[in-house]
Amino acid sequence: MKRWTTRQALSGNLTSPAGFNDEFRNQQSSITTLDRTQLPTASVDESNLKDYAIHRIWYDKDFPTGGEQTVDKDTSVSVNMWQSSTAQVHAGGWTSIGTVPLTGFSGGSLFLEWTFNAYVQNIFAKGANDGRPGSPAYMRARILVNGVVIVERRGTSYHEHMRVTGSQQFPPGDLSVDFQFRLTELSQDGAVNVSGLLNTNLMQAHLWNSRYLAFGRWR
Amino acid sequence: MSRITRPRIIDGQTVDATDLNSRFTDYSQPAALNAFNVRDAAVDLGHLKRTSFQLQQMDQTIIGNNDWKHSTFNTVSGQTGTPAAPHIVSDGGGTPTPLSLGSGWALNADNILRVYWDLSVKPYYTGSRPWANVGALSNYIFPHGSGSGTHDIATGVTCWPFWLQWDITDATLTNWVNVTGQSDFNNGVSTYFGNQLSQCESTSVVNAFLETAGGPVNGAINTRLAVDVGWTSVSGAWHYKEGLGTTTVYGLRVVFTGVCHSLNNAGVNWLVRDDPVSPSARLDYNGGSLSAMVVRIK
Repeated sequence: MKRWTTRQALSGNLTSPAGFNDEFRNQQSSITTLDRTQLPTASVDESNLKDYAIHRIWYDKDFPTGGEQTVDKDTSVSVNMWQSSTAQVHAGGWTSIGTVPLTGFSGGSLFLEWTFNAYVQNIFAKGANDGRPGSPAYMRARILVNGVVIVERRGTSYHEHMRVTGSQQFPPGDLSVDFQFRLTELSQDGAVNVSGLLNTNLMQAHLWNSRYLAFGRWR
Repeated sequence: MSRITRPRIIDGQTVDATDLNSRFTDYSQPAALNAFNVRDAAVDLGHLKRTSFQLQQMDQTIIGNNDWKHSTFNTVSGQTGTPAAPHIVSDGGGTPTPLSLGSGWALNADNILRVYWDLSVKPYYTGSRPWANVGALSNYIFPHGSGSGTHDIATGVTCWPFWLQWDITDATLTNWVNVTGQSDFNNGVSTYFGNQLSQCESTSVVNAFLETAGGPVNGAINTRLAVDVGWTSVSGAWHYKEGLGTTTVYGLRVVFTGVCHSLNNAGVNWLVRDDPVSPSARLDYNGGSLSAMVVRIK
């Protein structure tokens, strides 16, 4: 381990050019006169560092609102359904449930984790016109950073918990993270309403208890 | 920890031995350096302390009745009424299997608790199509393929919700409460009991049973096919950041109830117990794991 100075000058001694230059480098090596070669191993913890100096965590425990996607909220559903995505209100394609800024990202690796419960209606997965063994529907999920997909999953079917994680290197600068889902398209055999006394729109999917955690480590 | 301030050496000045030695003394004091004295970029991986700094705590345990071959497992039934105390994930002898955190982990505004768990489960039911019972939420009605009459069929929403409890009182692990943001599915709404979805921050679900239409045509149903869920798994993830105070966590455990179904009331989405169905619902569960860590947030 190096010490902060390599040559200790003694009173009355002559200062050689090399000795002076070594000290001079140490003096100008940083604002505070120390550079990385002079710090002892395993000497730094949070007490030495400013907040967010080497890493930062962003998170939301109920993203985007109460943990539920709110892009689709069909109110014309029966009482035993959630006000959520139906064939009547869902636009199709990749659907963003929300975008969050990661302000203060200083460059380096970014780990992202998105978890949620997903329900996908699969009653009509084995339609006569779908072919066998059928075509179950899934809730696909992906995470984009600054418009670029960093992770995508086929997702879950029926009603289950799901976790999507991804990691990527990014240059310094504020990042924008977009969380998106995509529902499998309905087949021609899929119902869009329930009948009987209810005769209302049929819940096709919902995403709830959604949360994310982003972990940035610099350089 | 003090901030070391000495005038920098400027052009034209001489560097004498006394000055150099004084600086050496300053910086060689034990614990003399702090953020004022060290540039962030001056820190490399080798300089970082390797214990209790970024990853401050980590622990894990096996939960449930662990048996890879599923030759032994625990069986529980669905619950009805209120208050319904949740099932506690336990070993083969019925003893709960929490994650004990010893003398406790202190959580404050500077760190975040991350919890991850999984459990091997097999949901099924007894009797005949309990989702068709009178008053059940767990079925929809669709037209019959013949053009007259209707068929009921399971919605596929019906599920077993699992969630986390913690002991934030002491290390005796006898004071379990639901984690922050999580309720116990005993809140009344209409004639049901459950949680608003916004009260389910640590909840993970697994299907209770499945039924699909056999060869449906244009939204009409001719036959119904019950599909076994079989042995599958349920997993969960939960994050918690303390506010301005401090919370000490002594233990974590996984609990569950069931079976539950979607409901909307006055524009609010709920997950409520489906009492006409629950008595026929069964859940076999095996083993899994529960792990937790505390990570510095900044």
